[in-house]
Amino acid sequence: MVITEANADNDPIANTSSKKRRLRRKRLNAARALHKDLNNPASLISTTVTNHLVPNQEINGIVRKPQKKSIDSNCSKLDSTLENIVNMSSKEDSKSRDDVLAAREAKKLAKQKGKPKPTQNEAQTAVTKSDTPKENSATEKIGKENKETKKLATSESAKSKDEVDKAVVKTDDISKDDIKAERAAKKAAKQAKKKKEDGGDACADNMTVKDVVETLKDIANVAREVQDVTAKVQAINLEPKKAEESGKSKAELRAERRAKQEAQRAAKQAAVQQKAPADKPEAKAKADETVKPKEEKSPKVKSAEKAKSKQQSVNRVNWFQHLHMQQDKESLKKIPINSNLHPAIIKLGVQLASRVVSGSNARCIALLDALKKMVRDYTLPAKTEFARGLEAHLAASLEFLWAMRQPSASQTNAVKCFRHHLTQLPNNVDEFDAKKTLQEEIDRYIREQIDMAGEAISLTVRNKISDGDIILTYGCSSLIERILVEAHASGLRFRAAVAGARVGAGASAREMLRRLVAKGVPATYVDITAVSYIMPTINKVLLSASALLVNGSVLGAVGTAQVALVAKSFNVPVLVACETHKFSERVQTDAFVYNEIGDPDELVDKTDENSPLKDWRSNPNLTPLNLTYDVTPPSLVTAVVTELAILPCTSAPVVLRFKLSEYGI
Amino acid sequence: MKKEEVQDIFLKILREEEDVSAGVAAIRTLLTVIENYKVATVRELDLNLQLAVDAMRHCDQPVTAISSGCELFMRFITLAKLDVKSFDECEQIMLQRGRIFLDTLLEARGKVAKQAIPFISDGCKILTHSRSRVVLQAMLEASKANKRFQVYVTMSSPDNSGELMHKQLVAAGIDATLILDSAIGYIMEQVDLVMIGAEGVTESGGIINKIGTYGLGIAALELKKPVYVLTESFKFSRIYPLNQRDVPIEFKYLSSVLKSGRDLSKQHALVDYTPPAYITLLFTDLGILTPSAVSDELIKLYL
Repeated sequence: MVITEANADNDPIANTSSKKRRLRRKRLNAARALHKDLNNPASLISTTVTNHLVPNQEINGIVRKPQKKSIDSNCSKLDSTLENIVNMSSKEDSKSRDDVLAAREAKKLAKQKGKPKPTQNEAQTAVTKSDTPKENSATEKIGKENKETKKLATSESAKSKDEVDKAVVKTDDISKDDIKAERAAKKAAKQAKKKKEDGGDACADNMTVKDVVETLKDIANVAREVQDVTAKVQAINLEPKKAEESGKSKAELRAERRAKQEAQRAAKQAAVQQKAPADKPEAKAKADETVKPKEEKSPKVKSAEKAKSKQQSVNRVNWFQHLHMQQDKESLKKIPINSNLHPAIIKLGVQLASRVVSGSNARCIALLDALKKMVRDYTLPAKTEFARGLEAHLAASLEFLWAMRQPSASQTNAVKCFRHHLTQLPNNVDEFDAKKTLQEEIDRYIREQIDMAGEAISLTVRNKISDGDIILTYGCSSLIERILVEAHASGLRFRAAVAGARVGAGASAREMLRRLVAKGVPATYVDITAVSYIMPTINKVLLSASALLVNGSVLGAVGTAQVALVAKSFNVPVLVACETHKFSERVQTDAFVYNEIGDPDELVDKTDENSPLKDWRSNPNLTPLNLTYDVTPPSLVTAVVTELAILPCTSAPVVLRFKLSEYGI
Repeated sequence: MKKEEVQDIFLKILREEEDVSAGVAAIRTLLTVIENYKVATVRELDLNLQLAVDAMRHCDQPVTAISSGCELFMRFITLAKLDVKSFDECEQIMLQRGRIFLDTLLEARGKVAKQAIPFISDGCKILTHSRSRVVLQAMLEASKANKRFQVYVTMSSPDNSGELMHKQLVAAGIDATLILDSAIGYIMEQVDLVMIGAEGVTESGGIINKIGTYGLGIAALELKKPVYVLTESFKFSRIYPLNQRDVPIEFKYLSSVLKSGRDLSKQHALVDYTPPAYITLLFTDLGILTPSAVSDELIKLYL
């Protein structure tokens, strides 16, 4: 939004209407003369704004501040009730036109992205320096829109445009009561937002480029709804005189502008914060992509979308419709990003979704690390209890993360522990102390529940390995790797056999093999299809788990159950290594009720030119299914090795009960 | 304190009192050690007890019950270690706790026997293996309760301990038949239930018992006969064998055999491991448990 503003002079659309702008300025001067008594030096507001900005280096902060200012300007709008209603009505008339406008806006945005853009701060100073009505981007935008509307229809819109410009002039007027107004505006904005959500409109906070259009469409409705709240707003407003004069119109405009600004901001952030490589060109492409269909009439767009989703569902197996699907790169770009999220959380979210971070322990540690960073950088809003403030922040972050990938049992437990410590904080705790405590607790959790637990398990399993054994394992696990490497280092002479598969979880077995061989552990690789062939020579099977469920079932990487089944039928003992922080209170008897669907393209053999799966998307009768987990029933598992003891699977409830009494979680 | 002295005390208890199992004898020996050998510090006492346990493990007696009993005893009495100020006080508390522990152990067998009575119905045929004091007591109690039932007792080589069991049952007026170990499969289809004792109960809920029990369990499962294990809870031990090979070697062979350095593959193992899948119920002084409940109890005891 800021950038749009800074480059507005270069904008062709803006230039074509320079005549009109001149006209507007004349009217502005007239308005100034009228309100001389209230007029303050224009420089005052700009200085206050810059002062606000200096300490806050966050991108979010920078983006947010000018918005506040615009809300201030909204507050200052005194005498335009009638005109605004007219404005609104003209808007409603031109809803479909708004679509077109939004599309153009988006295009413009994309173009500017492509251009070498000024840095955020430069843009900011540009805003603060300029005195003219143009400085307020929202106003500017409305003005532009109305210009476009005028071509097609009414003189009413021109009228409203003038009103908007007038409002900007009065931005200068209210700098006196700057802070007061700001507060009132904040409240009003909150209410407006609530209203919007109630009405089922798009949440202003979480918007992508795509949502911009939607929001613009909804603005008129929102404004109408906001009228209902206006009475309240008036009561809250600390400037009774102004409120009296234009309470309703203020609220309307405020809501409208806020929505628009939010939309623009979100659009910009979506582009800026996208972690995907090749930021700029991609963003441009994306913008174009979203714009093109929108340039047609909206009903058509809808049908196209429907068709698309239908196409997708065709390629999903019917009984697995309820399962969470791995996001491909395209859908990853469309995920709404809340601007309040900590960058570490967003980074982790993308890493989780793209499976860069995978494996139960790695995901847990990464989550805790991100939470630690979040706690460290968390600034407590005024008059908020630390625990409550952070809890709200945490909930938003987790919602985002879980949308990227469903939480593993280890993550759920880690969050449960974190929440537990958060609620244990005393009410009047100092912010610094609270942060320190929480960070220490996170460190302690990683150390005790993951690292030391792994060490204990490694020691226990080592006692079960004897010289000359051949140990079969499946897939890749940090814990199993640690056990085998440490057992080898302790002088045990055994061989490892790593079973893997070409795709899915089994594909990581080659990584496991690489790591084992690098550490000097003699190892063999077999495909999972050959497991029954190799099984008679195996002495023990050592498997890892993603979670141990309370009924004793083992939730593991897909293929685990098959290996355990073959081992059972060959009478080979099956050991499952699993720290107690992966014990889950869920009950699951098969892999259908809960699972994750991985990328179906993984199933396609890319090295094979003539792979029959190559163009599965175009074949409606072909549905590749790449499941992530499977469930091993307790009857197939000889023992579970935990840091507490070697236990039968059926003792999972005891461990959970024990942990509950020990840690209160 | 000498190793031999401890061994003497231990063997003397076993020799003089026919009715005392090795585990109880071991615990009584430990109590005597605390009483007789005066020491000045907790650390010294600890070392003494450990030495005593080690000595008993090497007296050519089955080790399973000794090790689990001693482990539990140490756990039970040494919990007091940190709570009191002076050592004398501590020693007194330990002795007191030790006696309480011993008393509960002695009561345990009666409790287990009582629990088993309802499972012995009139006219049923029971197969048992080797000699178990607790099984014997349960059968005697059932007989006293005027239950009429028939018992098949295996000879249980190599020490033919089944013969003694048979003699004791007949003496009590119970209809008992001595059978060959090799006749287990033949007899199995006639019997209604299998009732055995145990030398040790593992964390998995399986048992370590006189060799032949595993085969008995397999046959019983195949013919769908319930297998009831009668055992006191002091035999619960924190080992988790994965298979027969994984059973600790000192459990399988007498210490004299191990010391002699002979090729173990040519030696007969004394015990085998019966996995929990072959066991229907465990009758203990803690109640009647399913095999999976054993680890629950062990976690309660040790964590």
